[in-house]
Amino acid sequence: MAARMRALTGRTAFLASVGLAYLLVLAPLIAVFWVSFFRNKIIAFPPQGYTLAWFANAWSLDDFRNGFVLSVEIGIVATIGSLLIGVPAALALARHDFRGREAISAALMSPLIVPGIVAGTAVYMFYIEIETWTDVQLAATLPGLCLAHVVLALPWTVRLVTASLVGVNRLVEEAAMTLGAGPALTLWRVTLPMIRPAIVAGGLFSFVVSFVDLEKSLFLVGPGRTTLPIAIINYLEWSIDPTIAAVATIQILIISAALLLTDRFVKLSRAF
Amino acid sequence: MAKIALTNLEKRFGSFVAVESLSLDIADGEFLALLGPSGCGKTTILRMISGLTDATGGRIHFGARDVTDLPPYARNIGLVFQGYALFPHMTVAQNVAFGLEMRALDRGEIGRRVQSALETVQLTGLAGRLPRQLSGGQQQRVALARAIVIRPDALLLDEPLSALDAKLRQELRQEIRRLQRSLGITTICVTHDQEEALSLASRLVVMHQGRIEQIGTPSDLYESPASRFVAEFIGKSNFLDGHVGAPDEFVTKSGFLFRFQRRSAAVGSRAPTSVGFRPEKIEMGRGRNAALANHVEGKVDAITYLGATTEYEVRLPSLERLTVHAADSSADPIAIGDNVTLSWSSEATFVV
Ligand SMILES: Nc1ncnc2c1ncn2[C@@H]1O[C@H](COP(=O)(O)OP(=O)(O)OP(=O)(O)O)[C@@H](O)[C@H]1O
Ligand SMILES: [Mg+2]
Repeated sequence: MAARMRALTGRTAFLASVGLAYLLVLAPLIAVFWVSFFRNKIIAFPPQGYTLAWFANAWSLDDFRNGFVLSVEIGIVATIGSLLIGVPAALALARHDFRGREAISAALMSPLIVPGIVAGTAVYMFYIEIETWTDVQLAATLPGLCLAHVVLALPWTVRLVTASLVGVNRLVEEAAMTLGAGPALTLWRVTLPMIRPAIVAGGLFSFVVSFVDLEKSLFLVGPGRTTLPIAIINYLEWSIDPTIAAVATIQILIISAALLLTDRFVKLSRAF
Repeated sequence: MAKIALTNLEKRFGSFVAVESLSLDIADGEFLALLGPSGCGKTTILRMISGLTDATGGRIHFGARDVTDLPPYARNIGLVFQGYALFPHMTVAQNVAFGLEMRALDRGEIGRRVQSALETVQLTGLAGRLPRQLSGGQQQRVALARAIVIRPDALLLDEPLSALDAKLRQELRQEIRRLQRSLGITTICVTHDQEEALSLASRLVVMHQGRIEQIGTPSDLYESPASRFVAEFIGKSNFLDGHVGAPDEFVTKSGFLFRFQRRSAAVGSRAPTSVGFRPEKIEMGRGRNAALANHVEGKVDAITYLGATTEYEVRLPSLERLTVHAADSSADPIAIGDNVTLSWSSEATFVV
């Protein structure tokens, strides 16, 4: 009897804590989503009615529209860049034992560990340093910003693709070789198709990481250029109304879509 | 199709010698079985022949062609891996077509040859399936079709049937044999199933710790094993220790005298130390069979029913034990504890 009581309270406590965790995670998202449809300008409960006007308003503001477009553009560049560098890097790291392999691996993973604000400062100082040495300006330029985002996204691609390569049966590649495929054809016809889910996931994840980045971009955007997260911060400095909730809702929807799509290719829980 | 010649082939992994100075000729169209215990270097040999592993010494020729330094994709061999290693993202037909595409044949020709290869292995209905939608036996057939469709100079099979159940094994064994004969393709098949080796191959190579222990026809190996290792590896054998007395007479430590006619090659000039005879060559009865040269008396210790035959453990007065395989005689069944006489011929007796 006592044991059953203990089991019951244990179970209740477990369910309660799970419920609380979900509430903590989801409540702000739900609140933002809800508020974005409020008719009243002052955010107050209960709402006086519902409208889609704030979405239209957000799109009509240059800062948000341009920020959104720029964030998408940079996200695409970051995705392509991180795939072009990350996939070959993962192949080299997973398949070849060479001097400095550990060091390169650690370097590729470091953006996961270093706080964004620190990395932002570091990249900024590095760009300035480059400029003094070579006269090539990177800080406050679009190429500089894109480059930083590629670096930001790279660890995810490397990590996902490396994990997937470890699971590839080497004998399958060897079978291709005995059937007459040289190294390049084996890579193209056999290895890459086998790790395609991880490549797709790496690309989508790269986009998300770039799309939500605030800290690094803060240091590196040039004058007159804003990304969506920066536009949100700027707007919040002057006003709080449902416009910001509408923007956040759009952002959340895009990220969720990308993550759900990613998860269809690779179980994200396996990559961490 | 070509003759394969291995000359002083060697593979070292660091200081460990996996294959030691191995020389072997496989005739054009021959079916050779390579067998031996786990870790004796069988896979390593196939990998060297196919070019997936570099030999650390020796040469490999396909016919007149020295292929030792060629990469695997320039050798034209068909390899069936232990785990099949099918391309998981390609259909059955695409798997089989792969090697032909690498040879840049035209589409029509590829289609025809894939179709005929699938017919050969009886898989025509499954052309559109992915490997994961196939049973083990079907995957094995795809691997086989993929290997033969390129008309390789040699077909290398690495324990092709080890993952299958006994009945399917039997079936596919026949299929491989038929296929190999009709194509006349030089084949090396690795196995550690001796029954498989005996039923498939025209010649057997028994390996032990990276070296060839004996090469010969199945009956050579069975009737005149070159060493105690071979005798124990191929079938079952009784062994008693002792020394040779007269030229055709062996004296065991326990004092029995046995006549023998076969002396194993591995003995060379060294004095043989054991006498051997197969369990099924022994006649067991209440009295001795005077027509046979060797006799010994003992008491039945254990009886195991094996289906076609029955296995008897017979304890000799010297406490040595012999194994006898005999058909169970229902007229006068022998029971545990019975005294019996064992008789066998001098032809069935070898010293090693
Ligand atoms: N890459 C390698 N590095 C070091 N040793 C190896 C390597 N590959 C094989 N070996 C060793 O070489 C020996 C022969 O291996 P091989 O795979 O040829 O054995 P096998 O006869 O095929 O055995 P099995 O019947 O278990 O498949 C083994 O002792 C193995 O440990
Ligand atoms: Mg093996």
